[in-house]
Amino acid sequence: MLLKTLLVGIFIAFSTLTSLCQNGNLKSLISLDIIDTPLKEVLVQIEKQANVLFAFNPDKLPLEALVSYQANNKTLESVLNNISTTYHLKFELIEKQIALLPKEGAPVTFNLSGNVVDAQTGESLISATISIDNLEYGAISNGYGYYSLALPYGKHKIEISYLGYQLKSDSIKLISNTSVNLSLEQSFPELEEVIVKGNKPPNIQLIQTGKVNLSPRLIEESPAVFGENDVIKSLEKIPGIKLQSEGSTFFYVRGGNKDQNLILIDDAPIYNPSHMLGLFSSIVPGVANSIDIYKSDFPLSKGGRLSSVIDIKTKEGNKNNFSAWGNIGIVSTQLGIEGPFKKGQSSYILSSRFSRIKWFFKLINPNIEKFNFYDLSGKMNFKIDSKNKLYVSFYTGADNFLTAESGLGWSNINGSIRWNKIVNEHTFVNTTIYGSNYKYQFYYDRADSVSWRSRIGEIGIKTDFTKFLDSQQELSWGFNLNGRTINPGNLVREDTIPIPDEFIVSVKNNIESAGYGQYTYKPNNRWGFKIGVRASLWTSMGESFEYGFDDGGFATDTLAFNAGEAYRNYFQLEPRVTASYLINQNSSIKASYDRSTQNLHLITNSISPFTSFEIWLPSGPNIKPQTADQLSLGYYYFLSTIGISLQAETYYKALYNQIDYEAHASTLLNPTIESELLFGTTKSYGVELFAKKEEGRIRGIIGYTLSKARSKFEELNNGESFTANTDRPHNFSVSLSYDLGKKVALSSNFIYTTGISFSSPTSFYNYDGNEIPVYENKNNSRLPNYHRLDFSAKFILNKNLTKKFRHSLIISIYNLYGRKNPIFINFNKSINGDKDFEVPTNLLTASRLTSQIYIYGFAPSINYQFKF
Amino acid sequence: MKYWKYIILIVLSAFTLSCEEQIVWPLNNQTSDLIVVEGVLTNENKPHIIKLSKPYKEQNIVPEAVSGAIVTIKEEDNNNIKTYTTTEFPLGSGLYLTDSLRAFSGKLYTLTIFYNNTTYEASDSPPSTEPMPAIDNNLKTDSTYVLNFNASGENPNYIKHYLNWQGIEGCIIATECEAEIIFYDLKTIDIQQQFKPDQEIIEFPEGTMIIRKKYSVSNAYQEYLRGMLSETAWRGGIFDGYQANAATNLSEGAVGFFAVSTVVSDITIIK
Repeated sequence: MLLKTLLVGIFIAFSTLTSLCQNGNLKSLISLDIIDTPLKEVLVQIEKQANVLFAFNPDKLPLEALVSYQANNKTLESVLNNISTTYHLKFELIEKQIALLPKEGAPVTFNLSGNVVDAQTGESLISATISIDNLEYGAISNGYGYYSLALPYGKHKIEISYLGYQLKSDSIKLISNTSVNLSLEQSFPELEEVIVKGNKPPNIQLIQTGKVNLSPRLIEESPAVFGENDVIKSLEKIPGIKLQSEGSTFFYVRGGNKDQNLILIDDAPIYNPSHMLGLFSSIVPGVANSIDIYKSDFPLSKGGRLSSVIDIKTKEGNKNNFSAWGNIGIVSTQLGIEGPFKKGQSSYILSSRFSRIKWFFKLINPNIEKFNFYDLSGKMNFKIDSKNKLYVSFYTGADNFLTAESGLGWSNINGSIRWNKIVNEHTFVNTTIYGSNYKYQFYYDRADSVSWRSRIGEIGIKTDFTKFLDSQQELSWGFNLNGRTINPGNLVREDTIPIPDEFIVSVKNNIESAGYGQYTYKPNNRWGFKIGVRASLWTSMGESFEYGFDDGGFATDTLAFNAGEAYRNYFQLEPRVTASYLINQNSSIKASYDRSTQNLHLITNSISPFTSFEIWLPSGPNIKPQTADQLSLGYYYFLSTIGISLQAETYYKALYNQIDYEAHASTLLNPTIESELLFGTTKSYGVELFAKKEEGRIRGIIGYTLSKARSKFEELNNGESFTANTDRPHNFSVSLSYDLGKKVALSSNFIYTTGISFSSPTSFYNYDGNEIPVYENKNNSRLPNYHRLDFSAKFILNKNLTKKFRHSLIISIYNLYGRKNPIFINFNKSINGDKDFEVPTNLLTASRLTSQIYIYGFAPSINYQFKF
Repeated sequence: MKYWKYIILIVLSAFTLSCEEQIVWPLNNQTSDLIVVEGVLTNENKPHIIKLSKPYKEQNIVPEAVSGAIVTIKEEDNNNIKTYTTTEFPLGSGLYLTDSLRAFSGKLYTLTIFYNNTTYEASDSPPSTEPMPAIDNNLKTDSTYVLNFNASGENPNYIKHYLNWQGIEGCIIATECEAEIIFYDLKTIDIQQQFKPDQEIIEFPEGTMIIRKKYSVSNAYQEYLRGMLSETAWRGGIFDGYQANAATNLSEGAVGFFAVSTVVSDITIIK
């Protein structure tokens, strides 16, 4: 300190002394051509050329800041104006000296930016927190691991934290805009309850409501049916999300319908993430890098659904070493490889899963010819240079269940090419070209090659810009353009017999274009605001035909449209506003309002939890867009001493143009299917409590939801509101893992949900020997409450834990106490001599009983996993 | 690997078996004043029955009859209107008999019921029928036969089979030696129908007499039957639709259907 004061004194004395010998004025012409030169040296050059003398306090000016500047015969005043603006200075000519003073207000800032990566694999770490010790703000890495924050000139201690990784601290002297890649080491499980101090969950700081990050590790640790861990089934543990029922990959979010969830794998949509009719989902956690679930305040770039966005970013692959893994279970085998193309620069990952249960089902039905499902996903990424990265990813999966006579099958294929570009320290751009193709086939008569086929194909491009204006402001904007072709299901014959006209359903085409912009402002360390809008234009295009209907729902007119002809537009504005208040470093309050629009509608009047001939229909002349308004308010708290993040959110949501159906609506091969649709509103509200602990010897999540959802349709329930199909008032879940030793880990789930609402008969009547139920109020009853307990134990089989080859055995029991959770209740069957349930057909003697159908009883399983 | 296969077999067996069981499910206490109407007029020249009853809360019980109603049937053909009255017989049975009448294609028939100060109405018109297809049966075992369903004709219809093997060797209890089976051919493509649950198979011996009647079905009746089957024979599979009342043609909230059909019939002795 003494030395510093001495140096300052000497510098001021030297400056004053030299000023006595010099003359100069602001009109002097000077020329400069400097690159990355400290400001101190630049001032010396100016003094020489302009014959002036600067007077300043070196402690107050960013003298070490690196300056790049060009001037050719510019006046001294002009040069000083330019430099002063950049470095927050003001200058004054006093006698023959020019006094340089710091401007009042914000200090000069520079941008610190770069990528946060895993030190071992080079994998981008999404949503890592970058904190600055002496400031109360930081940054969170984006969906590609990129971060950028504006910091004052000078020295800073930065801390980088990411759950499951060791906290990293580093010092940096910021004298110019700087790019630094930050790498973190994984923290390996310890037997002691160790919480990495300083790790902060990003949800405290984010100006965002309704977001939950589900760690792939937590999913992998949880017990799952037949050891088949999957992302979609794990969503039932998140408050506000309920699976339609057991055995389903359909889920409801905050009272919204099952078609209102956008599932993205690397920005490409997936329309049916199910295998075996929904018993398993197609998204295994092993390939996921991050899983972000948005229940409100959706990212503007991910529009088109009312209730949730499930944003899955897959792993990029190990950039440093080759690695392979596998998981052999009762139902399927998973195998994967990853490694570098060029060490540290580019990598690949390839993962597959295929079922092996055909032989078992063939024992039950010898007619089975095909009974399988598979997944194949891959990703390659290339670092073109320090500012450009390219990612190519794909997913394909299919199910085939065929007998000699008939069968079912569906397939998904999607992919994306993404180009990340760091334009400069302030601007990040991502451009994605994506495509998706979903097909569903029902082989009606294989002998005559007659099948029902439905398809939705989509291709699109989007570009997203993020500009970090300064430490307080961020601007993001972009556009999205996509086109879709939808076949809502048609008969296909491979012979020459024509399909009757009354069964021909029009193919639908549309183009959707959207532009969006968002401004984020943090006026101080406490408050944060985000305001944005998404404007979308939906256009129905030919070649197709549409029907006109009278008030009674009868088709009165047919309108044919030529290829490329636009015939219906819907323009929608979707505003979003979010505010957050940081109470302290560990707690915050947030509120948001968002409006969203949906132009793709899943048409199914099925109560089945299984994938059952759903078809997608777009908005058009007979179907208006669905819209929703949602208000959310949340309190977020991080118990840093034990590493638990807590979240309490409440919401109110109103959904318009919701779809229900005429009684026994015919949705298969119905060209006038729109006449079967009814439109109404759903209103839902609720409170969600959530606790998550991702580190330490005990890990897990606990969630509880108290909610209500009611629908109102003029044509249903005498126009009175009724309990929505999506309503489940109570939803409680616990998922915990515990490291019993270095080689043994135990996990357990407990799920409790109020039963599904359904229409139970209030009486029966007899007609021609049939016993027919009478329904009065819609959804007047509920299935029994759903609950189950799962358990699993993982045994690491290695004697030596430091070996690269690691293998383990997992024993799981799904539904430990064998709860029979019904998915249907039937009133129309009898039991025959073989104790089988069947519908009586002898109408003279028919006697019926009430029965329930459930899927899983006590279901044990065993899995062997390896990795090297 | 061999052991692995056994493990899979045991585990999957546990999962696929015993997925349905009988339960007790109390019905909602809601009470209502609905009446049930069941009546099919045909081209058979005979007294026709309109059956009126009440819905019931407990499965398989005999429904309470709606007695004391005034039931009439109006026949309209251009400007010609003819009204048929009915008589409840036996009294208190809820069965309302017309005099002999025959319903003709092209005429509109309207049922009117006056009961408890409410007038219920329903109309239907009989479509013409198509020829009866050949009976399709095959040996199920060495000595028993089963009936097979086959679509027939172009238009929606159903065929009612009355089977009787009373008096044939092996028949011990007379009521167990007869059956009534209806094959519905509604010409619709329904997911529920495609994936309907297992149906009881009725086996009958050689010598069984089968009386078949094929009924034509109007559009409204087709819609009702489709709804009825969605709630009965087709319900209980894996792709069931939302529960709802079968679409009736009766006014004032009555349930059931008043249908008018054209019928063809035949008798077959299984040999």
